[in-house]
Amino acid sequence: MNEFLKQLAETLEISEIKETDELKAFPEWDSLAVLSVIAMLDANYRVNLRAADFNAVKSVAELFNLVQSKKRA
Amino acid sequence: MNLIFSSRVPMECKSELEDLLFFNPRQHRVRDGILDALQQFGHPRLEETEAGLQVRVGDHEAQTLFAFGRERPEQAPVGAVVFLRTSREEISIIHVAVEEDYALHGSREGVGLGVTLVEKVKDIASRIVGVQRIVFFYRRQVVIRL
Repeated sequence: MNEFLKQLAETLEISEIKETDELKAFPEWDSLAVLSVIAMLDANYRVNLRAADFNAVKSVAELFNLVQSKKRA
Repeated sequence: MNLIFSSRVPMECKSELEDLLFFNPRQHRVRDGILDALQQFGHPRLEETEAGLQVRVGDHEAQTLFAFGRERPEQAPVGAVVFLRTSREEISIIHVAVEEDYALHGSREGVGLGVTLVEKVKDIASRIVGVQRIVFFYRRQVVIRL
């Protein structure tokens, strides 16, 4: 989880991210951020998310869980 | 989001399209990327053709996809994505613009029209032989594999 938080923070250009943080609460969370996260997850985790996958994701922890479930699938 | 996508815009929407493409209030966030795109590809401009308005970027024949809201009677586009094939393997997205209501923090539900437009380009690119990735020109590290 820690490595995921670090990579997500780097991608969003935020100094620190906690798993309880809400994605939409970040001022940096815009379309470009979503695309950057999609690209990062593909490069680092070989997980290819679609935009619609983010509709059900509110928190950083939920995004982490989604990535884990896609990796297992 | 209840949207229609098209590569054409009616001529009478020129003013709204200019506002969308060239006077977007959030453009400052990707200023460096825009300057890079201008330097590499040239200035975008609207061209009137028999089929309607088209976007041309410098001397390049850019492809443009427009999004229209189904509920909006005025028929002006609410989003646009401009892209070019920059090599056999690569399509570069050089401009994305969406109306504030349709942005990620806008009043409309969903993940944001900007992302939806890029996914539309991804769908188009996946049908073109040889194309392996999409590069988001505003932020070059954003590479979406097909």
